[in-house]
Amino acid sequence: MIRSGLLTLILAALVMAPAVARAVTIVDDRGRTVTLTRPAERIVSDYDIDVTIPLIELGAMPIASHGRLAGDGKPYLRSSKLLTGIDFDNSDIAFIGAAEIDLEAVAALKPDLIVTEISRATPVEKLEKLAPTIVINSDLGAPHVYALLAAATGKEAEFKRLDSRYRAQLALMKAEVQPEKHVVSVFQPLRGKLNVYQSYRAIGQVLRDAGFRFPPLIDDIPEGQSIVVSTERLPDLDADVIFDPYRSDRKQGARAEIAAMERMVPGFCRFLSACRNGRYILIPREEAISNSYAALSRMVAIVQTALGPRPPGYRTAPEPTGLAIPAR
Amino acid sequence: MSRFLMPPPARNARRLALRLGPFSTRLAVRGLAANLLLASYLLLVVWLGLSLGSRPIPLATILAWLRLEQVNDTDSIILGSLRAPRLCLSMLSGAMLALSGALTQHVTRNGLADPGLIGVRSAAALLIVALILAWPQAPLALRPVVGLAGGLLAGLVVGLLARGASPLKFVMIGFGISWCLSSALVILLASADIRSLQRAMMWLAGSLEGADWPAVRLALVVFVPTAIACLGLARQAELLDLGAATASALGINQTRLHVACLAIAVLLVATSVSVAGGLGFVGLVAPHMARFLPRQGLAGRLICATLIGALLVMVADLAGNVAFAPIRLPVGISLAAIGAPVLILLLWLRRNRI
Repeated sequence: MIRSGLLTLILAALVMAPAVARAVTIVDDRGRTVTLTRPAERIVSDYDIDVTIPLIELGAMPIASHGRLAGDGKPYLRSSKLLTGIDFDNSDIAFIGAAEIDLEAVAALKPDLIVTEISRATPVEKLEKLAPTIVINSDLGAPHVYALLAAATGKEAEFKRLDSRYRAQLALMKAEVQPEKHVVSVFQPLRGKLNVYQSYRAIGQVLRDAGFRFPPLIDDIPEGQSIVVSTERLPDLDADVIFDPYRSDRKQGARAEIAAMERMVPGFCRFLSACRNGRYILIPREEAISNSYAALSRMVAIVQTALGPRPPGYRTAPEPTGLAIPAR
Repeated sequence: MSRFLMPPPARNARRLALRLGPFSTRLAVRGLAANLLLASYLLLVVWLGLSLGSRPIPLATILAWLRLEQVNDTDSIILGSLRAPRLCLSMLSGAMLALSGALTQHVTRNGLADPGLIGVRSAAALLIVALILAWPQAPLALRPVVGLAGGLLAGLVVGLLARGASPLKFVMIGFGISWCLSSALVILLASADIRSLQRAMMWLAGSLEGADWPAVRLALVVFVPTAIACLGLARQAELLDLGAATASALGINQTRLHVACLAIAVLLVATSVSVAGGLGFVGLVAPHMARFLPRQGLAGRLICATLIGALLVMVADLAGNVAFAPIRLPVGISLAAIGAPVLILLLWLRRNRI
């Protein structure tokens, strides 16, 4: 009798546990203090790439999200299928708009948390009338954003797991490539000029976290900012390895990026030692631009591959010849 | 041009005399009927605006909400915080732009004049974009204040530079200032960070996304007194149609009248830009559309243009909200999609009279 009573009490305590879950207080990236009565479960994301992907990766699937429209009019989450495998077409995430989100649809979903990004056009004052709203600044990097989102959703354990995986991968890469000995550079062509970031999202975070060195032109850019320079400055961007994030969401892919560089500076490869040495690396922008641990992992792998030791007599791979493999 | 701007009242137009003590006024019956019809359309669009959207709300719920009765939380938030302020702001911004356009066209005797062309819109936009870029976290309530200050300053500069000049010179000086300000805006946008740029571009395209009750209150505080002042000045402004000499002989101080009318127009445009961003076409199209309706005095035409302007922006916003839901088009884009063909059609229909 006593044992069954105790068992009932334990079961009741387990059942009641979520109901008496602790309140969460968060100071967001606009300095606002937001209090949630319990970790959020019905979350609406106002930005696909910088909010929705981290939420999915943390295991806090949002009920609705901002997205983009493909050429055929179908909505998609930028970079999400590549990095998480999740998109509108294979999940229960509702699409709530692109440039402007549909606030009425958000209100009808009755979320317990709305997460927006500091650069989004939808005023926070409007969002916080619908549900508690936190604002993140993705420029502060994935670890910061994930920590904030994990606190709001009660996914701290998942955050720690993702962060420790990244730190371990980074440590392995550092041991292999000795970053402090290499100068690296990241830039992309932009309408006839060169767009250079002080730290280009995921690839920038990995390079800075690893301790690589950068050309003075990049180091002089204020933190979190980018500049657009003339192609005359191309030699100033030379390095041991150059990373060029190409538009992987377009049909021509990396070839279009090379063509864009060629249009600006015919034979540009001759002017860059990195390129002459086969270390002008085109990386998919859809991954490089994401502020997620999935993207950080990919970037660590790419950097390690680009800078890792080579066996003696190593030569860069030739273009595929298209020769048929003889049948066995 | 003057015939176009000053249609003589039709001799056989039926008029209604209203008398109240020492006051009396004559109203053109057909013009009055046209304005009442427009007002009824406005009510229809208000009802559509309150009921249509991602979550359709039945008329009974809307009426209950209007009577301040209890409705469910979601409907209450959608009606009270989203749809109603947005509708009010679209109505007021359209009305302000149209009224200022009609007034400017009459005073400058130029069918293509619009306070937006004399730098008011550019100045308000320049200062608000600068605010968005320099201080992204600034409270929304600050935008109208900053925009209003910029618009009024531009109006003042144009007024001072063009004092004593002909209406054509006035418009040309305004063009010059407007181009200078637009260039400054382009420089600002070109040097902005790409992520902040998106917010600025969204606002510049004309957006009611930030519509709230404080913005509605500000628009009302400017619109109501200026509209009353416009109607008060309409009788004197109408006498200008008789010619400068006759108007002076009848005791009209033309300089003071011009300054008052243009100050009102500038105030209206600056307020509209401040609360709703850069909405094009309304100030130009609404007065021309009003001329297709039965002839009436200047006061009647101003009311008619005001109602058409309000209707244009409300319909454009409603169309932008429901046509491709859940995709929402900024009102400036749907307005351009509707306004540009309408403007071209109007110009073609009146090609021999402009």
